[in-house]
Amino acid sequence: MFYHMCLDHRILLHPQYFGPRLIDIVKKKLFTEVEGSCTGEYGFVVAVTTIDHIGNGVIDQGQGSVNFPVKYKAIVFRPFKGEVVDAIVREVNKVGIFCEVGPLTCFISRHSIPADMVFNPDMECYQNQDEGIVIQKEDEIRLKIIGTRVDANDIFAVGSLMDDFLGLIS
Amino acid sequence: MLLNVNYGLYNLQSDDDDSDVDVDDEFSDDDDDELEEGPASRPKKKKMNVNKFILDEAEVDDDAEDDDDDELEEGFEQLINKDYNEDEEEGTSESFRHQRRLDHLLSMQEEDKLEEYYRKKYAELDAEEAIDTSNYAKNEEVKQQSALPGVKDPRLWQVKCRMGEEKQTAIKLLRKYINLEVNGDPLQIKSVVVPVGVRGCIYIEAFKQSHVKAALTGVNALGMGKWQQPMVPINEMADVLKVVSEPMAIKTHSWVRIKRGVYRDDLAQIDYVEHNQNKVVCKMLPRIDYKKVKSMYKDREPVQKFRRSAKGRPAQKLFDADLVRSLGGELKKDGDFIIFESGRYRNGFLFKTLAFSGITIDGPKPTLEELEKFDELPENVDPDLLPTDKKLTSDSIFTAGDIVEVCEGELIHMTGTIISISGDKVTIVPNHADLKNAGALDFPARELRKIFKDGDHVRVIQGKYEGETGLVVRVDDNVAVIVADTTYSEMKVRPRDMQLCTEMNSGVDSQGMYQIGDVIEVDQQTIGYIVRIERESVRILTQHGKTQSVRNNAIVRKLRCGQALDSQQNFVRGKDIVNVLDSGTQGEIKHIWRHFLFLFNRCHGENGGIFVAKARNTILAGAQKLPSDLAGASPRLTSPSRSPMRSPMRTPGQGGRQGGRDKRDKEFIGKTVKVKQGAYKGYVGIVRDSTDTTARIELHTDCKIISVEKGHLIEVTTATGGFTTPSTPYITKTPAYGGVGSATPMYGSHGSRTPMYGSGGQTPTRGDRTPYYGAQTPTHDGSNTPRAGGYSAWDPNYPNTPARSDEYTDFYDNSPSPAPFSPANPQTPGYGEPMTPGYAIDSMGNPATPGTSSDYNPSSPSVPSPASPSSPYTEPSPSPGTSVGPPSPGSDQSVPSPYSTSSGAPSPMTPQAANENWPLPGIEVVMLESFEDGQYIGQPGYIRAVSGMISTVWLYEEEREFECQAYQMKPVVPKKLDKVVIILGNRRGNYGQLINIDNDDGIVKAEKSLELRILKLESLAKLSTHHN
Repeated sequence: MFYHMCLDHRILLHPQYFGPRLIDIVKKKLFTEVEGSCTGEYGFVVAVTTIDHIGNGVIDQGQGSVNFPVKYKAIVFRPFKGEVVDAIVREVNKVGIFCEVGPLTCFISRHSIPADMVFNPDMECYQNQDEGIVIQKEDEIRLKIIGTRVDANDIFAVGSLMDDFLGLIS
Repeated sequence: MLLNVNYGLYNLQSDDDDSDVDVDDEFSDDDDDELEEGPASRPKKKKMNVNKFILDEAEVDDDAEDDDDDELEEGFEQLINKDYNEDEEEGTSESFRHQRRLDHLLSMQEEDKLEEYYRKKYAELDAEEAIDTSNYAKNEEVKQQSALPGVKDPRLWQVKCRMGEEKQTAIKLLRKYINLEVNGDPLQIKSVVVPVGVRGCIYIEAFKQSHVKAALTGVNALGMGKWQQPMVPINEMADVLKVVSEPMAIKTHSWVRIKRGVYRDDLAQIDYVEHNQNKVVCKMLPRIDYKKVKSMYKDREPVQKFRRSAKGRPAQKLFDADLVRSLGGELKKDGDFIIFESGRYRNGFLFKTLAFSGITIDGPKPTLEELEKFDELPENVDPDLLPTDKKLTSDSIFTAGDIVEVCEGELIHMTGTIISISGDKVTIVPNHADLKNAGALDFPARELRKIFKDGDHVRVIQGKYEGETGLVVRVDDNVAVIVADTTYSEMKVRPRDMQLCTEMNSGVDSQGMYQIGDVIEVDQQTIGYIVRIERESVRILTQHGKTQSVRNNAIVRKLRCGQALDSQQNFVRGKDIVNVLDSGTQGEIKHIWRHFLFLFNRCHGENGGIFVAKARNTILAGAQKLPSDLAGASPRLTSPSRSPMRSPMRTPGQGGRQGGRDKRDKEFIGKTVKVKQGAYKGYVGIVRDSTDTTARIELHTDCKIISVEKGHLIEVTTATGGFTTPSTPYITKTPAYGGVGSATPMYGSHGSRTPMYGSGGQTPTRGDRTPYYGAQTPTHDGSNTPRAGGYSAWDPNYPNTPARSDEYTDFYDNSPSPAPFSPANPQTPGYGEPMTPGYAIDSMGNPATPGTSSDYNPSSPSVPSPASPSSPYTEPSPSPGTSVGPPSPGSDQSVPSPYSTSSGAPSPMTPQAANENWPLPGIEVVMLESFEDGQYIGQPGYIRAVSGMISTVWLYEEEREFECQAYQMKPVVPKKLDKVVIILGNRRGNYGQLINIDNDDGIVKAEKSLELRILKLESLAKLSTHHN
């Protein structure tokens, strides 16, 4: 799910950047450091929308670098258990399907794929003989997240196709 | 009298059966009159009657068992035969009445009556039972209480008995009782009790101690207890009969150990269990003494009896039928078994019938070797069947917070969350809404089982996957499928072996030595990337892309990540992302070994996403083709993992401006160093701050920070505990570096610095450092494209995606100059200065031919120019052993960088071939093929003069001079007593005479000092006799 929320970040700036463009650099650095990062709590930071406040920099003792507290608003993507999302298939193998929901890698075990869809090692796809449905690389599928593993700076999900209206989006 | 022998399953031994038989014989006479009437039911009856006296198996019960005669008999009879509900005599007679009537009816063939009979019979029974159970349920507690012995009941007396003869003694007492009863002088005792597991004493129930004493007289085994018979207090009487239940869970195919005999402590697998007879058939490796077999059958010698100790027993080996036959042994067949000396063998294994007491299920865990002998792969062994070191308690199975389901009792299928565990009692809070108000409920641990749902993140706490974590993708009744976090492989685990957890498996082995992601050396040819840690082994992906299992103790060492060149000559290092050219897949470099890259791509299904590629078959993601010399010059800077912030700040001119200032040497900060000179010599500390020349060090011992010159420091590597010199050349001066350094005066004196740096063309005054910037800047601008908003943040082709934020933390790395590689440029004047020829001579204490410095020929300015910026990195040192400095300052001036012009690949291992600055005047040489197209190949001559790279050689046969370079000729290896000149090492240029030759070494008598030295032959050259 996507959220628009207020977040904090500290920017550490080397003295070499001190100068007239200081604030620009702080902003630029915020974008590079924050966008695309992932925290277990809030999920993936997709985009910074506004920078609300850049606090006063505090010089690090002994280093000369400066810490700027920055408050900003960003769109974050946080996957949840039970959420139904669309994904792009990245890899198909006998263990299951790896797919990407934007920045999130999601794995669908073969146990979570309906039993009538079987793995075809020649084409590297899961296919349904009766209905001719084929899920292969680069296909778009809809899946339900059945579990997430949240690390300090990454989120991994396992999904399932065992429900109505899940599977290939034609 | 009741003879009460309590048996637990555990200790039933074969001799017990014998005792049963004895009793049967004893009583067969008494039973005759009854038995004759129903011959068909004879065996059963017989048993019944015996059982009237011997309670073979006490009901396993925690509750107190009553000692009262009548009570016991009643309960016991119910157990044996449901018809026996009343008094003993009545019961038997009634049953026989039934039997007789039934016989009568059957013989009459009256169906109606028969039907009526049965109907009546079972109607009665049902009614009786119904009443019985209701009564039982109602009065259970009361009955239990009333059954406890009181003051008016007979008491128990403990009598000492000879060890191990408790049961026989009890039988003996029974016989005595019967004998005396027949004689009309019965013993006054009520019962004899032999509890299981109590050794050395029996209990006799009687009203008075004198009755007990009367019973003891004449029984040998009770001789010790004749004098003293302590009375069991009333409240402890019930405890005497309490049976501690040890249900032995022997299952087929489980692993056990043998307790006794030749096979003591051997591992065996249960092949078949006979619960009734308390016996098991074990499959094990036979220990046959073939020598003995030989002496028995072939040599017909009488077998001498000898005691077998566990040490001297024959080795475990599969049964070899052919060998036995060849030794003359007799083999019989029974189905697919081979019988040899009463042992049954199949497929080489011995199948032996053993009593339960002869095996133990909780012995040491079988090791891998033991299991391998059974042809069992460790993977196939069900961990459930392995003997367990520790008894499973509810503590180890359950933890607070587990979600469990009730699997027995009236609350079956209810789920709840464990809140506390004490011993066997587990307290749970029901999850059901209606039961929430009921509060916490207690259950015994066995009534609960853990449940998991799809998507739960769990840790495996037992079994072969112990320690792994993963996400549950499927749950069946008894098994759950987990996708492992580290390897993305499937595991099948029983729910009871799993536990909910949030953290991820660290992937470290049991000793903490290796972890997933390490690259280890197995042998000279094999190295591998650890993809999985198992209990006693690790699974590796070798450099050839195969997986294999390696035992922990077979690991030689851990390897460090190296560097490699990709197909475009880009340096690639760990964490870089590369594309594999032929397959088109992409991966992050996890490790580099030689030219093998271990790449990680999560979508790669096998081995946890790790696969192997050759460096030549990859290209750095996002890299463009670079001129190879530039790529070589700054390997670090081509890597994409640099901050883009730097590029906009950089202009080529800036390099010069910043060059004069002391910079921090971030590479050095944080390293552990040892002071090797000065007041603080020997102290160890951590570098807190560092410039090019000095470092501030926080000492390990004192809490203070000192400033030390970097030259006085030596880096300590924590891994080996030893000392290594840092890779930065503050201390070590590679010959190449020395060459550049000592070259300085040359430029100073001739004022023509510029030609050295053809590529630069920058400010000549700062020529000694600027060109590096000139050369490097395009690299930065090229590969370090700042990540602009337009790029997809997720596209790994743009390596500076913020997701890899760990790359951004190092600010000093962002400083414009390529700090790690800068030491090649003497940035501070003070640093470069000492490298004058004079300094070189002094510091090395080497008087080596200062005169040769005059050989430097200023007329050959073109020669040094090949010293491209890449040379400090690519140049091999001419003689690795003498890395202190250039062989002689003079020669260095004349040949600043000979290798860049050499045709072949220079190898430091063969100095004569590689080192091109060996020529000295007077050396006898032989021309090589490369000279004048082989026209003069093999022709001898001698060097008349050397100027720069060019030597003037006089060929004897041509009788004229030629100009040639070092690689076009080779020195003549001197023979004994030849005059020689030293061409390599720090004595280069010294003359002497070769006194003797010893293999590769020559013994040289120096011309001036007359000292004898032992030198390598290859560092010597024959001096021509024509040379004056």
